[in-house]
Amino acid sequence: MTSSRDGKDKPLRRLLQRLRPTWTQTPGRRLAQALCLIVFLALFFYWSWPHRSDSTSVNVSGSAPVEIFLTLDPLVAISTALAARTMVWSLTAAVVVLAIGVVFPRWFCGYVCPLGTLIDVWDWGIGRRIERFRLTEKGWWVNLRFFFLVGILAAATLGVLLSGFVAAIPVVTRGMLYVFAPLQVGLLRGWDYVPSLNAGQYVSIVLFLAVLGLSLLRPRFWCAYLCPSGALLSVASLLSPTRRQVDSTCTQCGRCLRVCSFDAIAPDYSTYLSRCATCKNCQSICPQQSIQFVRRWGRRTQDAALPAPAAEPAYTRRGFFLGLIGATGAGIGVATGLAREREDHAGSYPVRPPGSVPEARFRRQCIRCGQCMKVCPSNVLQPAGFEQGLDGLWTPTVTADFAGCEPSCNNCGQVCPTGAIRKLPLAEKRAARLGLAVIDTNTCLPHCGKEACGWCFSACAAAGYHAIEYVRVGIEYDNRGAPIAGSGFLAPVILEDKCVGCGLCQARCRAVNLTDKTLLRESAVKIMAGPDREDRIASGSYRELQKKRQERSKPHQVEATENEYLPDFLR
Amino acid sequence: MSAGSIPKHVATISLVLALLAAQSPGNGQVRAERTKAEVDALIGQAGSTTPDWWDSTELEYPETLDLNWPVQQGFAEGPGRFEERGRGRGRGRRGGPGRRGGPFEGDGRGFGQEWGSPTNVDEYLIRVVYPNPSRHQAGVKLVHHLMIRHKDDQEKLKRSLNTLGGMFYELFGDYARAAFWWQKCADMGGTTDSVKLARCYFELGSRTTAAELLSQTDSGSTRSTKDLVKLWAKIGEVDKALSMIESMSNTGGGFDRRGPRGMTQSDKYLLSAEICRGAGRYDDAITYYEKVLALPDSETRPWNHHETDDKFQAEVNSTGTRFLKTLDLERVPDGSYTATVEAYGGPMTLQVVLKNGTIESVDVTRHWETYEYLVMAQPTARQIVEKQSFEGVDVITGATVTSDAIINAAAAALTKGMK
Repeated sequence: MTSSRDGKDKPLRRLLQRLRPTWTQTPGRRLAQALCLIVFLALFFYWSWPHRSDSTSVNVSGSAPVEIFLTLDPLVAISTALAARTMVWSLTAAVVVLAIGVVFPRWFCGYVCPLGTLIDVWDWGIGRRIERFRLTEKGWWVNLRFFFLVGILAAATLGVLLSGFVAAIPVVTRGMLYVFAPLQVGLLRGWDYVPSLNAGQYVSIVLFLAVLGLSLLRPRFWCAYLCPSGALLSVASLLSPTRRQVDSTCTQCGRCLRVCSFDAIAPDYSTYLSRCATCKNCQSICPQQSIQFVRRWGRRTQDAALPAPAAEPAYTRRGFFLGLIGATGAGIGVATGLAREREDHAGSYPVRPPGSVPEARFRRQCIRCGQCMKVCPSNVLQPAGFEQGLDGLWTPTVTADFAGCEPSCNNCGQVCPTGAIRKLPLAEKRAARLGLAVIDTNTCLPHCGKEACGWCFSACAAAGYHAIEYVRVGIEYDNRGAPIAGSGFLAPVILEDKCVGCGLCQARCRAVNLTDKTLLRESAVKIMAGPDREDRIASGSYRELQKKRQERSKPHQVEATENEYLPDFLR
Repeated sequence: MSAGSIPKHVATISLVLALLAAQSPGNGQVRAERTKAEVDALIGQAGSTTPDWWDSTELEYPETLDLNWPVQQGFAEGPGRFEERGRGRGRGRRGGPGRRGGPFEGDGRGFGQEWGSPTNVDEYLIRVVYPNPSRHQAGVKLVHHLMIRHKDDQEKLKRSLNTLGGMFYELFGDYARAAFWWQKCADMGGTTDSVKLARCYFELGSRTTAAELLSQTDSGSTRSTKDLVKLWAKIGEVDKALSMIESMSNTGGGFDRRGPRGMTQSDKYLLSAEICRGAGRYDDAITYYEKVLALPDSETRPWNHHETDDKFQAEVNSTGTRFLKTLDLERVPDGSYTATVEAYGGPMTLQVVLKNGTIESVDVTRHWETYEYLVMAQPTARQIVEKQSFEGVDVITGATVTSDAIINAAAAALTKGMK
């Protein structure tokens, strides 16, 4: 490698040195990190953008696996499989990641994780210039990640998914979504298209900034002390066949201490094995070449001068286990609380993306990553705030105020990493009811005799659903009691066996009558979800379901016994 | 006079075939006048043929319909009349978990759902069937079913025959079949709309029979008076129509939407202008429009959501009429022409395509009209293509502004292209 003793490659070294010392020391790792971050950002901002001019369709399916980082996060896969009691296909990826982690501890954290790389970038740009908040001592927080991990797994066993709140990739995905995606939409489509943020999104933004901001306490504070995905990988690394070893040539200069991103080196230069990510920064910076990564259970080499790895000063072993038990209890408590909260909100039904699994299971399977919202071409999917309680926070809901669910698109199901939104082909998606349009006849302009209006009708017809037809209201009568032809208004009615709840009617009514003409304060037709109004099946065909429903609701049909146009008695 | 007086045998069939063969292909030339007997034969033959959609249409209707078809005066307006329900001031209510009341909260399904359970057949036809073209064929089958069901009840049989005739007339523009069912109704002593029957006779080729029928008709409501007068003008008696309009009383009934509409002086001038325009008497039409513009503002209808602005109409139409006056189709080369004119809800853009010297299509490409008016005014566009001229093109009562706009825009578009 390009160590400080190597006289070759001077121009390259100088270039790399301008970045950071670690680029010269471990360029392979930095390259891997940079590549993964670039791929992550490209997947998120380029491949997930449904309006690229080079493709005529809005679909992102088949172009790139935009959710791949989410599937690589092992905590996401394991907790979702536990909570939803199903085989999530990303479990295979998780097993592979953990298996590699056995051989190569926390390789994901050191080489792949985009959140980690982002934090490194932040540290390089901003963090290292601010010294004020640097910690000098360790405290109670050093093992928090294990407590998070245990709490999450406990909650998942009870059927509540909490990992979406704190697992690494969902955190960074949401951060990108709430902070930068609005900028992308605003710049590329126009600022009118940017929906306003709700309280829940602000909370997420604050958390994301907090994760970055904690680095002011210590570089990669999150990775070293808080990240539960990292904790899971640390558990895998306990079986690691390699470990860091310092031999007696160590002069205790302290350089490795300063450079270790994961705070894995004890003050006495031994190793905290659970935090070591094998990034080998220490090895390359050590002027004495004292550090090796050797086989753990092999023959010992000459490091008898140094004591065995020390425990963290903040915890005794007993304290650690008490902490784990406490965390389990906390996880169970939170899970129970959220389950109870679900019952409190049982009467209100959020409208979910088309193809979502039934609601109870949805809450257990959705990791609140926000990927579906990113690929939605009309920004119809918005994260819920606190209106469903904490359990519903950041889950996708359909808000058809500005646009409806596009009939030619099935993006959300294609990118959901856990299958909370089923991957449906387009024909199936068009038959899956999100909800039902309901007209408020107190405000709908023709229904209350104010003026003629047919915007919802034409929006539905243009989309090809033809689920709105007309009824004549306000008929006037002449003095013989006969209705006057053409009097009254044609008012819209929803055909319930055809409506899929896409919300195009709601968006159009709002755009014309509220935004443009300021006649109404909210749309006169709204999509409502609920037991009779939506289709949520965990498996099986939505089209079959629709056919059965339409058969049942078909109007009364009579066997035409007299099908003759001109009957005999009239000949 | 019934169609059954002529035996339906070889003579009739050959006669009818000869008549059908003699029909002109709609290039605007006046068709040879047919006698009443000839038209009756046509009605008897063409009118009794099964429509091609008959076998493939299901007889379907809501279970709740009372097929005994009792006569009902006035229809219920649903839960509470409009005044009680509030006039749509746009009171939005914010929902929250557990709050009830109002159609968007709780399990409220919205009042739109009660229209799905009608009991009265006439109400069902007027409210649900007529506004939706996809339901028209099934609607005809329903009334046909009622006719057969009530064949032994004279009154209901007459009602069903009359309704069938009306449906073929209004919904399909099928004059022969409409006249056929109306004749059956008249044979039994029932009353039918003689203005519409006269129209059928005119469209099927007998102008004299139409005139006879019209002279026997007295005017009922204002709306049918307009149709009566317009049909007189259509069959060629323009001066008679104009004098009939003159002699109608000025009701001055105010501009209240709910009050009787009546014919104000301004209405009479506009109707006269419309008739003259349709007959090709463009100078007379322009004179009438100028009379409207000369009236004091208080006597002309101003614009609001429900009505049109009389003076604005006169303005826009007289511009269109001037285009019609100078338009010579022979001088317009082949191509596609568009023009934008003011219609009811906003500007309307229309495209006329000329091919091989004939008008191939007239299409509304952008508009702000409500669905109802645009559908009602479709015959205007169709007739321009059928007749290959603007003379005799209908302005549909109830959608006059939209029909006029189509004519104005087509005239403007073609004038733009005229060399």
